[in-house]
Amino acid sequence: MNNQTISCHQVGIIASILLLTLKFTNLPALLYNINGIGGIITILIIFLFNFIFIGIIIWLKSKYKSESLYNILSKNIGVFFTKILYIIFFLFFISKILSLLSDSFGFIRDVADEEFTAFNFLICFVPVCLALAKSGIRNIGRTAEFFFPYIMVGLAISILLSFVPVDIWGVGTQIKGSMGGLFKSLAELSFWNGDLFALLIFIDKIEIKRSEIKRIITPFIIIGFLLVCTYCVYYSLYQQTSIFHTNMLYDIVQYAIGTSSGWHMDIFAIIVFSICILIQGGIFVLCANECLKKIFNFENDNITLTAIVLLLIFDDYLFLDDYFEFVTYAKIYLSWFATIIIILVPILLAFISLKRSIKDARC
Amino acid sequence: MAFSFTQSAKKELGINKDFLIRNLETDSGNVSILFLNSMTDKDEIAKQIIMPILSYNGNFDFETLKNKIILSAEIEDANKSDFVSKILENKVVVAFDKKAMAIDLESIPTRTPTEPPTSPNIHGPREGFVENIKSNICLIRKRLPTKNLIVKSMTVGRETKTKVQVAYLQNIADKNIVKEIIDKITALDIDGIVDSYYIAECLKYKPHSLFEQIGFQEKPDVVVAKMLEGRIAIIVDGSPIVLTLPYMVFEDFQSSNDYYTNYIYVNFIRIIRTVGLLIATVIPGVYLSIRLHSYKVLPINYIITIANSTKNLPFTPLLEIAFILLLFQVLYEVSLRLPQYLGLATSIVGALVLGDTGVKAGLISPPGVIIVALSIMAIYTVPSQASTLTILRAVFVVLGATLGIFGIMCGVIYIINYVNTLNYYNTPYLAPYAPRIASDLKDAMFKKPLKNMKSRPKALNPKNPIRQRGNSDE
Repeated sequence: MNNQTISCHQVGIIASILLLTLKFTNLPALLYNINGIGGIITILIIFLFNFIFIGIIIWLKSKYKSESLYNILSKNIGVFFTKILYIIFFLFFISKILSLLSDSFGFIRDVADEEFTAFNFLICFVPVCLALAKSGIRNIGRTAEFFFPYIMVGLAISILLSFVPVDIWGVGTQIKGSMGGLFKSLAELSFWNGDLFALLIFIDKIEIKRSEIKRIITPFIIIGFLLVCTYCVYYSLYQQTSIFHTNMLYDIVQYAIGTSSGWHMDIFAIIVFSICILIQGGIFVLCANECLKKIFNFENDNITLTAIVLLLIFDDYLFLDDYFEFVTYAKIYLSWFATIIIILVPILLAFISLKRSIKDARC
Repeated sequence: MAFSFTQSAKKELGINKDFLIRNLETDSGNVSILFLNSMTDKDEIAKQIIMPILSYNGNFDFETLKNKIILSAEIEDANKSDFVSKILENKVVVAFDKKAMAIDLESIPTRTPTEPPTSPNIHGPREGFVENIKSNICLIRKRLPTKNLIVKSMTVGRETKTKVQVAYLQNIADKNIVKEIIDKITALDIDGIVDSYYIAECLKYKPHSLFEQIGFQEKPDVVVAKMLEGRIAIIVDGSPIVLTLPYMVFEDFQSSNDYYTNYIYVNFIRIIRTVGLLIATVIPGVYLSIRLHSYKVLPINYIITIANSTKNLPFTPLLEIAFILLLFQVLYEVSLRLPQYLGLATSIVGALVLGDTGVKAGLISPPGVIIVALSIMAIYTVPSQASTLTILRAVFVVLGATLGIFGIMCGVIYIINYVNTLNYYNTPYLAPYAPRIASDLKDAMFKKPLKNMKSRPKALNPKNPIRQRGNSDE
């Protein structure tokens, strides 16, 4: 894997894709199930949380210019505990890849091809993700940068197509979720959050210049806005039946098709989602690979990537055909990983940075 | 025994019937003129060498002969080790008083610069490069009469001794790239260079890659425009194609016409080219994926039309499209090689007899023919990428037929990611889109008016990034 860096613009785009992808599949239905239309508030809080996370990364980058996460942790908590943390990170990313595989397979089978088999899906998804991971973060950044305009336009078109029949302003008056529901949804569905943690794994390869911070934030805010808009439109269109839908982006376009006799513009949703899942898959495989290399002190990518592929194929054999079983597992067990990752690690890093700041001040 | 130029030349070249030695007996001694009859201008030899020598009154030595008697402008010294190679380089060697000089009186058949068949212009210059390296350098130099234009010359090929020249603007081009190119060319040890493509092969980073890594240009105005942006031109004797480096894929979306036409129209045309590229590459694959996997994305009346057209076909959809593609490709290859007067007949046989009869016979369907024809035509919106797109189209046909829309999307992402790994001569292949270089977007997929293009493309690392000074109406 090459050690070349990614620019601020690419960081912003990667963060946007990480924010977006897994929010399109089951999350809207699960949120509605717990907190009703108040799911919009939950997604807004998730967006704000991720926004703060980007702030933490920028802050960490200003403290540790080109140090890797592994180095930062191992210098402060020791190699043993760092490796334990990296094992947890590895499991987190593997579970994320599995979640992505399951969600994407369900999406493709539902919307594009009913006869699409798990085997077909794996021979499409795995080689592309491997190629992305093998080519390194710089190339993933460039690929994401190349496709980002298409993602934004596709997303905007998907929203606009469904806009005509939607009483978007009526949604605000219908938000009746409770605070309890809000916290419950945030806690129970924490597994669908924290994708941005991937940025921490290659923090040493991020180039952040103070003058270019807006290039990180601008695409992220645009995508966040579009995401919240998509949730508003989706809940407005489907209301109580939102809990039965598993492909939000496709379903809102589908609704528009139902009210028009024109072309099936849902192809936009398929294209946008396919781009997002493949790039996100590549990022997660890259992160899992980095974790595995650090755990076993490997230099060679081929061994670690082969191990990841074998692990994925084995896990997919268990989960891919029974998606709802996976969702249940995710809710019960994998949320712990997510909680550790997205709450404890930033707190730990903040503590380490503060300690260093105090030490620097004394010196 | 004393060395004799004539004896030595006879020994090495005497077997060739076009090798001639003309001996002139003068008061000062014997002057020998050695040359290849087929490659030199005999009238000029008579005018510039023989007549002045024979009409000179008095004795002369070698220096007088060289500086006062012979009329030619281009004279260089030759010695016993290199005079034979100079004769083979089409020079006339004059030997006198145990010394020799080489005079350039080359006369080889040369085309006049005409408009290249693959890059016609509506407005703008109509000159094209020819097979003669001197003419090609002349076409570049007359557009760049500046001391900053540097032309470095080298000879490549053990047998062909082909002249290769590297031209660049020293105040603009990245000197590291110039050095890298010159080093690669001089390191080349090959028996012969027949065309510039041989040099292109040696300059490639990845010889097995499907994607073009070097620009191929036929027009001097285009080469000069590229040199002004910071690129380097490589001119090879015997080839009308000039190579330009570094290369970015969006160069092929730009035509020389774009710079001599209203920019709003140019933007529209560039969108058409991009759409053409997409149609050429993925349309047959998308058609197959919709027909075989995702027919739901089509409106019902289209589904019915396609179903009616394809219901009694003996082939599977993949075989049908593969068959039509093969048919078109065979016709294309035949039309390239047939004499021009037979081209029309081939078109009639191909399009009318094979296509129409194939449909009527129920072997192929009208939608299949339309899709493939559209794809084949669309390739020529970006003609310099035709070979790459033809291969990619075949890949997407297989992906679309076997794995559907998702397979095609996986293919697209894989290819774009692969293309992003290409960083030849320190220049990103997909620049200015990946990585995004905002200032270079002024002449990429869309073009701004010339007065807005104040800087050279940053992707090329030009020494001097400023192209235009003064205010614009941005």
